[in-house]
Amino acid sequence: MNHVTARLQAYYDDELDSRTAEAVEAHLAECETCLAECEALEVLSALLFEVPVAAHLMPEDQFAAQVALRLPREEATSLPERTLKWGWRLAPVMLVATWAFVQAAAILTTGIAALLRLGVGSEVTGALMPEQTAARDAGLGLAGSLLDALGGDAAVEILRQMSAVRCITLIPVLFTGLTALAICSWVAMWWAVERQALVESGQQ
Amino acid sequence: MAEPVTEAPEEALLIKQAQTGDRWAFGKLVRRHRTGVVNVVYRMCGDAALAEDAAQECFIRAWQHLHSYRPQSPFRNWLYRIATNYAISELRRGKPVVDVDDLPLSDDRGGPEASAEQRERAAAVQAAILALPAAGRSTLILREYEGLSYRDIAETLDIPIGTVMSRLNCARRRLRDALASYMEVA
Repeated sequence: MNHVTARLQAYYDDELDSRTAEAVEAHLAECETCLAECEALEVLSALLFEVPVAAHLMPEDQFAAQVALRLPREEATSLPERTLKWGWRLAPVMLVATWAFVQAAAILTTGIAALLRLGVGSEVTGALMPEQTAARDAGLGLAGSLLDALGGDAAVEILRQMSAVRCITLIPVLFTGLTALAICSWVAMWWAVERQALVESGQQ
Repeated sequence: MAEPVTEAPEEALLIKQAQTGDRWAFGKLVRRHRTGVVNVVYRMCGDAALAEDAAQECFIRAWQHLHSYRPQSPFRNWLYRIATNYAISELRRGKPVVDVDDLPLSDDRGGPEASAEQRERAAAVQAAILALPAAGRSTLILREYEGLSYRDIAETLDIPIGTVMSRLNCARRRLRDALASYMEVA
């Protein structure tokens, strides 16, 4: 005789379709082993209900009131809070935009400086600032001319040293690294917050 | 795509209102599902006082994440998921400890001897349930005490139906072994 042990649990839990359930019932009428198994499930269920339900619970209204008192008032967020929230969400976009701006400015500055070194447009700068020639002579372009106007020879010397160690090239590289670091930190924090939210909402 | 589950219209409306921040509507939902949530946590940890406090915490979490609830599954299942996860996390921390002597009795009419036997049996059953692995315990509780279908349990615990059946089978087998002497008497 083929026992229906594998289907007994689903039969007992009323999870079988009617045709299969009828087949199991027909088998149970003939098989004492399977019938005993099925009865054991019933006995176990009855035994489980020997454990009393939670007693001495607070009244329903009191429970609801306590929950209401403990609810955070998130929906009543103020304008500054909402702004902060959106600012946080837009942080990576703003970081990338700033990075793009800095890179564009660096490329533009380098290009202009290169052109000025080659003498392209020197007549223009000469016409604008004819007396500030020391910086241009030092090959530092328009920025050098401006520094010359502001700080004199000392400033030009500083710029010359900076140029020598390629500070102007290093700054965008450094900024790129810092931007990448900031974005990675943001992603990590976002992931931690989302993960916590998922755990709390039971969707892990 | 999963078909939306038809909640009672009144409940669906309450959920919608609560999702817009309506505390009164959420309060109504709390009253409706309080018993179920308290019982699930209580059966999971065996401590009534802790269960009540934990149930409040579950409702607070539900409120905080109400925007993420989708009507594809019943609201009750969603709450039970929060409750079981919360209970499991509390159990991992080793917080709840059931005191067998403090178990309340549902019926004392059988006299002192019957009460003592009843108390002993209840304690044994409770201890056997608490000795089950948390995954099997939650499945068993949702089926036996809350009467959820396999499909609902699968949705609640986010596991396949086959896993529900195997966990249930394993839990029942363990309980039968642990409570063999009481089953013969019964």
